[in-house]
Amino acid sequence: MNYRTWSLLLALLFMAALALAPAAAVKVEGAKIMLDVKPGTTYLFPMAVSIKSDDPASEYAIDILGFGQSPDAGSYQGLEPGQDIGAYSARSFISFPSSTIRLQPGERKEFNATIRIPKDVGAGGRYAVVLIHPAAAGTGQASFATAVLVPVMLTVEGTKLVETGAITGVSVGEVIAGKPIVVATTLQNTGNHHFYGAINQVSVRDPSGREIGSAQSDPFARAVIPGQSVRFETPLTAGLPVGTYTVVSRMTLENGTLLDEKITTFSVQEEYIPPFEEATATVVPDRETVLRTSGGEITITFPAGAVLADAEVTVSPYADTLPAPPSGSTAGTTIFTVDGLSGILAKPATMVVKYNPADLQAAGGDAAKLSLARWNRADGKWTVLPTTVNAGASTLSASTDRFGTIAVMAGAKQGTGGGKSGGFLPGPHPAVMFGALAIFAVLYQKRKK
Amino acid sequence: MKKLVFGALIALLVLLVLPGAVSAAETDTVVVSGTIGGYIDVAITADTLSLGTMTVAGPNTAATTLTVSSSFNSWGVDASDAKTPNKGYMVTADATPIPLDTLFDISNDAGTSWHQLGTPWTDFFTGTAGTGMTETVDVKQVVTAADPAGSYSITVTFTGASN
Repeated sequence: MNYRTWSLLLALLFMAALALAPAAAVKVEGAKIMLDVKPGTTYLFPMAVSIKSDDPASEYAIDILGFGQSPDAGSYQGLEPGQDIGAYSARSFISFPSSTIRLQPGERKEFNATIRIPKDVGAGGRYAVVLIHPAAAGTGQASFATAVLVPVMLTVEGTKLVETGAITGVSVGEVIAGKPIVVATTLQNTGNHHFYGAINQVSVRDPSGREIGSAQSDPFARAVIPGQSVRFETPLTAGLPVGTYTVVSRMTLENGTLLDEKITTFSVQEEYIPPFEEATATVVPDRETVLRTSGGEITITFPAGAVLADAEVTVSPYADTLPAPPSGSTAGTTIFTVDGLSGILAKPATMVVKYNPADLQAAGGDAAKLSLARWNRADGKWTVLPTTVNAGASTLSASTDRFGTIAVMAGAKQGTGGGKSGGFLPGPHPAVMFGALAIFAVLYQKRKK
Repeated sequence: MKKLVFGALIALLVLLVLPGAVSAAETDTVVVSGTIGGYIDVAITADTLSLGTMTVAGPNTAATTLTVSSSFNSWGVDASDAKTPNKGYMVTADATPIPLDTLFDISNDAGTSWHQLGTPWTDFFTGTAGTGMTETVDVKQVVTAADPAGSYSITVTFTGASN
């Protein structure tokens, strides 16, 4: 085999490695059945299921289930017949020509869902889900399957629709500096018809009744089904001095109709400092760019030449569960992510981060024990950055040539910094680099000969 | 004789009423639409992944890509292990499956945070109408010294639904 063949083979292998086609997929058309129905009428609802030409022949099962919702996000879920005991079930109304569908690669099959509405169906809405899923489990070590859940929401025409709700619980989460205070409100649909767009309006009042903070959730994208309960988690970000506060949670519909209102109280033991507000800046190659949060909590300075092309960079509070901190250290509460940079900076940027009382408390009151650490997703490890502490200004400073998740750490042993500069932006995938180098090497050898 | 006549009358009555009852059960049939409505397409790049020979030292990780196309303005994909018992555990293929000691982990942020599949992951991936929207799926299995040697497997199902 000559060098030309070798280089072609390498290139093909490289391209094949990058361009993997989907190997398991299901497409369902008619994936939501939402109808106004008349008692004593049968409806034929057209649907289709298909797989791609590069998928293996597959058999899918069609299960007709009760309509359930997960309490945390209201995700639609199937209820087995034994659990589907509510008065608003449409499960028994629905049938299909077959309970399974066998598909050859690239095949699409059309069929009808038959929905028979009893004459004595009653008032309001009736609900079910249709789950279309692989008939058999996978056989690999870690196998993946794809499925589609079709919500069925039927509204009986000419009947009185009742859209009411009741708050069954309100609780206030932990009060931690730098993290939002989460107010969790559980709403149950007590009517006979679903409603979309529920909104949770939360206000905080001091002992005198004065409102000192408020928040409002976005209109809920999912329906709340009669009999089901959904928890709304609404973050509060108002600074609060030590004291006892009252929280009022008002659940309304988008048109302002009040569903229910409940009150609870909570205490703040140490002054609550809310998380900073997200900030964005366009980092340009030819001049210095400063990205600063509105409260001055975080300042990142990108020198001229740090990037090779314009990059929109955003710094935002980190809200998820933090990976375990390095051995012997404790994470503070100032944690943030910097997004928009896909590779290594050509010149390192400088971060100046204000630490808060909770960060200092994590260090036992000794600011000298604080440092900034960066979470490396690629190797799943923290890198503790060489950090300068300015106790007078309550700031930590460090240089880094890459970002991601950054946290204030207490007691962490300072290791290597952000690495040597000399990379470029945007950073290509290592496979791209390796493949390009391999092809280059082969071509170079050939020319040398 | 009286009983016989009475029985015959009852039977006649039933026969007269029955057609009416059948008639009452008849319904109009409505074909909702000639064309098929909104769609959702859920695809995974690799339907199986190998974690190789899993060790206590780990990391026993692998990754694939979830792709969703949909005409719905709002949709979500949940990740779950459908089997019971041993939900969320890799198990042997024995008649009475033996689970590993630790739940199977899944991540959608490149392993910064992990979700144990003992409970479904609601809204693993969400989005609006569009085609070819992708999310990276990382998986991890922690192995302990107490886990017996053997061949273990799990099937993770990604279920898409319009809102």
